[in-house]
Amino acid sequence: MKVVVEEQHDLPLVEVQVVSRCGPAADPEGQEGLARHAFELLRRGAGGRSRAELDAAFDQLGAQIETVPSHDGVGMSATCLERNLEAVLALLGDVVLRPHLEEDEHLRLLREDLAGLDEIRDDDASLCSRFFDRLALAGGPYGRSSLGSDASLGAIGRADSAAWAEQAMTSDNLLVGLAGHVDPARAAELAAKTFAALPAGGVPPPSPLWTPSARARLIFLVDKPERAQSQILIGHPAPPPAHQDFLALHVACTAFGGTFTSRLMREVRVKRGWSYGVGFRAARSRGGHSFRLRVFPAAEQTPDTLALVLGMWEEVVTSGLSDEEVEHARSYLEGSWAFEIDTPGERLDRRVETELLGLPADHVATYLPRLRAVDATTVNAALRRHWRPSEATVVCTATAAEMRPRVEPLGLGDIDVVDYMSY
Amino acid sequence: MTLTLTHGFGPRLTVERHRLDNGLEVLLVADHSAPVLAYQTWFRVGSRHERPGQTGIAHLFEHLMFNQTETLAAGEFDRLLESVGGETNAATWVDWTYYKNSVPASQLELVVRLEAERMHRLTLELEQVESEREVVLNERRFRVDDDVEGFLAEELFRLAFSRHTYHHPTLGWRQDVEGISPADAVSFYRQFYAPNNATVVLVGDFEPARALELLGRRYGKIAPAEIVFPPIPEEPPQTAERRATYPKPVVADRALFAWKSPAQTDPDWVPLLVANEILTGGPSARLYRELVVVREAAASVHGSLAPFHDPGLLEIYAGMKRGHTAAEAEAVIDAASARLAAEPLAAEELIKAKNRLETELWSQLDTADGKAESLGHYQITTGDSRRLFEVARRVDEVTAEDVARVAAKYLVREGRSIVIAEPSGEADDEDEDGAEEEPS
Repeated sequence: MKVVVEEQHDLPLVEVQVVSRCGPAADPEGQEGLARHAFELLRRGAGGRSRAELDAAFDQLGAQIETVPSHDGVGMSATCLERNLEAVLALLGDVVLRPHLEEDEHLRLLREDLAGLDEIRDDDASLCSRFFDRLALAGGPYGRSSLGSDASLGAIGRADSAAWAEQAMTSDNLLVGLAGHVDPARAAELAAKTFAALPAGGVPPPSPLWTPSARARLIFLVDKPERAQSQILIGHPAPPPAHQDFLALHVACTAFGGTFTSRLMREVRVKRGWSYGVGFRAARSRGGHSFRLRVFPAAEQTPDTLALVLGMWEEVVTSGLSDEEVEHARSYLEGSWAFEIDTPGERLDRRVETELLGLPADHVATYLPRLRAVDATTVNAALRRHWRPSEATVVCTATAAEMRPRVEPLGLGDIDVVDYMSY
Repeated sequence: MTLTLTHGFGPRLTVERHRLDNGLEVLLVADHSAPVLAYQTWFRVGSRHERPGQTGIAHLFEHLMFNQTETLAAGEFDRLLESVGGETNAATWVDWTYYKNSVPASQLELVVRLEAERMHRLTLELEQVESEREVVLNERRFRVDDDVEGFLAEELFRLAFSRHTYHHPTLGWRQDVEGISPADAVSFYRQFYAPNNATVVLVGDFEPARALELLGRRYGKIAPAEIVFPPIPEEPPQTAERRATYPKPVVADRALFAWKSPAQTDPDWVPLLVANEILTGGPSARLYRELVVVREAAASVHGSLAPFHDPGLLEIYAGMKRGHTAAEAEAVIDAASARLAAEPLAAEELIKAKNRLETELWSQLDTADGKAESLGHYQITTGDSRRLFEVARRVDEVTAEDVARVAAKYLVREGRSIVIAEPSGEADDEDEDGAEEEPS
């Protein structure tokens, strides 16, 4: 079991992260959502406490519980008062080592999972992202939702969750992180004591590398009634963070759409006022995730916005970014690095990410020198190798009957309509 | 520059409060734990101070503050900060507007120069006002028109407040935002953006003497203004429950239940904060447990108590599951409110709420930005940054009797407003078998 500790004593808080390397990307075909469901089921009764008793015990200690978001791992963080650290760790030990995994709680949790999908359907930005991952990354491990679908959740049984837990909760698959008001020696001792009974070994899932195939641009209208605004994601698969071009691509994304004065922001928001926000980034996962251009214009401005941003993306691939744009983005990333490591929690997140993304151990320590070596030549060469706007998937939440006749004449790509309740 | 006060900030930091001759208030917290700075400028003006017909001007003006000044071209403010790795943003709410900059510790001089410049040398062009108006209307579509919870929150305040300016949304009514002219914006700037209506909050890795010298040099010559706030009508006591229902494309009822609550400086505010925690704080809280876990009627339940200058609302949101209605949540909330007022709270449950609130307080102070935001809010809204830690102390002093008393006083039907989004019939037409339709 790997234990990472980030010490800082200015607040009386400690954050504890417990993360398994068996993340949603390794969910079996047809059982998407298994890792998230099974990990949550661990918390629904453990160590002789019922779900209600366990909830009350964490709350009694003032612990704030959150899910650790990752495609390549699954876990939870508990932020607690330092005086309650040992008690919170004891509860986490029960969750990891002594879960009840009862049928009643499994079925109850499945019903909660399904209701959670309904709540996503209320939120257009989340809805758009969910459909984008499915449609733009179809056929790959990250095209399958970590939350599952109505159908895939229905295919998960209690025994599947138990089998997942047996594989995921082992010494080689578990990461434990502590950050805050705790010294490293005590943290290591507490972690070792808490998880001493963890089964040895374990096999982490294979790195989910995949090679997406090229295809023509497709536009999907996610049809929802009464939309005044469109949530739009445009993109295609991206290489993994360990790829030699990834840092140059990160600079490229920042210059094109990663800051308030970036090219996209100037043209879409500042000059035209067409969208409250617009951005371009490379989402990260161990096997490579996606480039994603996000913009959300009014329904009536959607066709013009689509034509503008797709045209800008094509233009930057043809003409490249200027030396000044690249230098500005590089300089911004260099200065803003301080905010990626300014708290013990942030530093812990960087170290857990490094593990889950399969990056070299010195990835964080060497970030600034590697960034300083990036220049306009390497950035433009990288973006020309990897950006393919003509193969992009466009996902747009809109009222399709009104939007389709406006977008179709632009000839931006074939259009398909999907019902927002269908996924 | 006069040092007016010092007070503690947690276990090892100190707040220095200074005042310039022109009235600018400065809060300094030197914290050398990371090489970063949070530099925030808080103005004592929010949507509470807007006049009928000009709602949304405080928020629209916040957007306009990122345009050019007498010495900075349009976009230069952002460009300079970005070039050193800085982030800049702003927020407007009912009682305040604030501008935030997060920069590396080496960039104090730059950020002081830029913020002092736009406090008194902003220039506005018609084209930029029109562009930002479009941005704001798009923000409104994002946060209200296409967002069920945002829509309900706006309707709730419209319903609950009949006279007080909390009635209108900080984003403003659409027709008012469309009618704000560049002259209106300039007038607003001259009326409210002056050193004697502002507090600068600086937290992070800096030397106080150097910071004070820079602040005095850049802000010292800015003239104060005569700040005249428009009169704010007092809200008459609510004597009967109010409710409204709206058809929306949702799969099940989404509802907000709210009661009139005291101002943040009122002695009852802290006990009511504890009462809210007992009802909605965490998975073992009374309402969460009853509605989400035991009855499986709701997918989510959460609550909040308004931290406002004037009396506001205690809100509880319930997102119902398919086949369940807001009426079920209402019955459970009624029973829980009555029980909280009538039955003595167990000591263990009170300690649980206090522990959760203590963790939440410290968590908010994790970053330099978080520290500055908490200080700025308390200084502007309550008039005294010391109240940040006074609230923590008073939470610790709350008794079971206090919680019962405020529950009986505030969680009453005649002081309640309810807004519900019901399925309009267009959302729940999924195939009976739930089969997914594959896109072709």
